[in-house]
Amino acid sequence: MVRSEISTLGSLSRANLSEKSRESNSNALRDAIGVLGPEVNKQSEYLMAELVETRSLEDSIIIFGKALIDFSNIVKNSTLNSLRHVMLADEAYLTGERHHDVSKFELEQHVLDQMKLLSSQLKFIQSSVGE
Amino acid sequence: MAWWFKNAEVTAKRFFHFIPMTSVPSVGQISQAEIDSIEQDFTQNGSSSSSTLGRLLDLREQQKESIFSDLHLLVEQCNNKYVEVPKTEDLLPDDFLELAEEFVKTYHLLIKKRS
Repeated sequence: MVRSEISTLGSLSRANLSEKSRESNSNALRDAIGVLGPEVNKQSEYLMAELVETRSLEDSIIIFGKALIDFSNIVKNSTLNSLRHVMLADEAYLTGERHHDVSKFELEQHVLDQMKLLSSQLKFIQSSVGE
Repeated sequence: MAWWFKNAEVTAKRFFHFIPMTSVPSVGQISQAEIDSIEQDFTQNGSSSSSTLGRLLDLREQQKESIFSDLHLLVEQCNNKYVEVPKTEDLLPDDFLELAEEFVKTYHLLIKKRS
């Protein structure tokens, strides 16, 4: 099995590890994957549902605040999802087993759509407050 | 206003606590009721004082910090002598940093307009 480009294993190579070290690494990975398990499926509800035409500083700040929370949740959830994928791939590399969900990490469509909405919203706010 | 926004050199990576985190996200008491009240007050009256708008920005920042505090705790639980959590930039596509930079730019703009 080929090692992933991004890894949590540092410069470790399976070939250079004793069986005991491989087992310790594998156990540590399994524990970490277990920590993330309940978190990766949590989906925060978005505060921004559509592009809002902001007409004043007040509503720009209100909408910006909502967009900030949406983006923060997206960064957090996407980081955890991606990290879990990397760790699953590392575990598969160490054990030489195949994992059914070690496919390349890809953002879900609703995340991509929300990021597009947030980007458009920021541009609108910037223009409405006269950048 | 949070201390880091007094520093014009704040980076998007720092503001959104990209891994490796250079500072521990702060955790404070967040009042969703206060956020709702300020937003509702604006919707009904159509205007708010500069200090109220500043308070709303502070509350949203605290909410953001709380989200990254959760992430920090989880990452800390994963990091050990066998597992080294990669950088956020390696875990996420470039679009994230670009959008994070737009957020910081917009935030500075709003702060400037408010004062």
